[in-house]
Amino acid sequence: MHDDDETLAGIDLAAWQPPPPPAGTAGAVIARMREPAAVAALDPHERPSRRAFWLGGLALVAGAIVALTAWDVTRPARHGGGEVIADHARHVELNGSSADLDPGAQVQWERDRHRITAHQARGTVRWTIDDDDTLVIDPGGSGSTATIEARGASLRMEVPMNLSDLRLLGASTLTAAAVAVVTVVVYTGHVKATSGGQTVNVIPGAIVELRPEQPPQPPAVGARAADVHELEDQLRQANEKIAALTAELSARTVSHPPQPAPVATRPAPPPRPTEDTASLESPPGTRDACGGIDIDDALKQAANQLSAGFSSAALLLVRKCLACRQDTQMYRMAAMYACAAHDVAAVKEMLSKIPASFQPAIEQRCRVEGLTLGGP
Amino acid sequence: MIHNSGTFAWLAGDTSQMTAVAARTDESLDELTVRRAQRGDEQAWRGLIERFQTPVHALIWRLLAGRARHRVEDLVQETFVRVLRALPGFELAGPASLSTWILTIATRLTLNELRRPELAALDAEPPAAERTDRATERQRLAAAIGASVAALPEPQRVVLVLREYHDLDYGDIARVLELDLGTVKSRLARARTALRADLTARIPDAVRGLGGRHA
Repeated sequence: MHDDDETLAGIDLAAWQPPPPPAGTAGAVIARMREPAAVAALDPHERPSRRAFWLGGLALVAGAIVALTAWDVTRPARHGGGEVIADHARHVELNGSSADLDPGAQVQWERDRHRITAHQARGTVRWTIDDDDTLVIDPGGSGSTATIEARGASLRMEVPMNLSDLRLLGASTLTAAAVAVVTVVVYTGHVKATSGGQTVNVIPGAIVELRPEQPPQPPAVGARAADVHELEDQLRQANEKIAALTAELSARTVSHPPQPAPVATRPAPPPRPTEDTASLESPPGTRDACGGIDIDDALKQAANQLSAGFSSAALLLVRKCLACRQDTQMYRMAAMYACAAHDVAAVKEMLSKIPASFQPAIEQRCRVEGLTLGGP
Repeated sequence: MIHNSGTFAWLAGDTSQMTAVAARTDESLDELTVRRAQRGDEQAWRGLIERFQTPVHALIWRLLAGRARHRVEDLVQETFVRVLRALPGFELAGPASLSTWILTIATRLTLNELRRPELAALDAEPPAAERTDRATERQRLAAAIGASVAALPEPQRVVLVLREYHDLDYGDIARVLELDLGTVKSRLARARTALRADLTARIPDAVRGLGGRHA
């Protein structure tokens, strides 16, 4: 589309063209969409079903190996190694293969002919491995037992924190387990991930997480450290409340022996919603008088809108749900969405309805979004 | 601030726009395919991705403008993952076409990526002047445009790329970026002026020597 503006007249803007998109995008995206099924565990007891076929093929393979070895020996030997701590985005050539380091990434590697052994101490690195090369990456600290083996592949590996750093910091084993998650995203090729004594094949488009002493697994949704802390807070408060109620019940039981239950003639009207009881008011998925909205469905839609970047639309949806159900959880969700939408007034409105114990997490989220709340 | 009151008119209970605007999909992607994709049909997903991967890739590549080229492929994939997840909520009868909606998601994802401080540094690229010995005039011009666009402030660059390279009209750009129309127009005017000035400084002969509008 062109308008009447002539500022750029005479300049062939079309000269600036991007390269064509890479092949395989659709396959990789669809594989990510069905992620839970994307990781296929190797069967350690796999046996040939047709013995004769294998024996026959063995001779061929042996011949091929001899030929390849002879060919390999005649090629110029490739040795070497190095270490990079990237203070800015870096591209490192590994003699056919390559590594693209995000700022802050630290990588050490050693090449012995076609085998590259790398130690990715921290940061995010995109590896591109030549068809002739085999890359074995040891993520994290020296105590790590996880490895990634790739051949003719491209993948991205994220190592958020060095295990040895954690040990230096004196972090507990539990904290280390929560933080030291290595994430591997496979774009193309053959990649094996090993951790916790188990090896899995990771297909292109799939993501796996490696945790100390645990087998590789697809990423858990919503398991960020902040979420875990928030859930721990909720659990602690719930436990305190249960303890207080139990104590109160015990006291009442002692002073007032149990009486036979009266015959119920008519259900009592529900109590007026309060901050503590409101969450019990509306059963999930109800279509009620609030415009016939299915709250669960609407909240799911809101999450999708947020994920797609439509934070204002997501906030709007949660506001509609708030007209039907008012509880702490809903207000917290609305506050989070308001942060994402950079709607300071809405954040303040929601914060005023949220218990003080939950407010710091929301303020922190707003800060992450670059939002300054200022005064009350 | 303008929110997507058209695309998501039902969110606000406003059905007037839904009846007033006819269903719009892109010519090469029929409504049936979109509806099948909304229901999770993988064949339809593939058709949708293959139809839009070129413009999405081009948009992200241009918005990054030399920054973190290794992230382009990631962002393209991430865009389509989010598109497919949010697709059931997309209203075919809304005023935004499917392509504009997809470009909106790609734009916002890329802008979020650009906010990461480590992306402030450009990937190493030789200046336009050093390429004269090995490139044609057009390649030289392309490199200069790339460098000039990269030098624009992000808000101006986004508006310019969406308008000049992806044919979005002012209204669509306003919806994509949640800006008002006046802001879009003023940013675009500033971007064009700055681009011309920067290009004139980089390759004065090429800018002055050409006539007529770009293709």
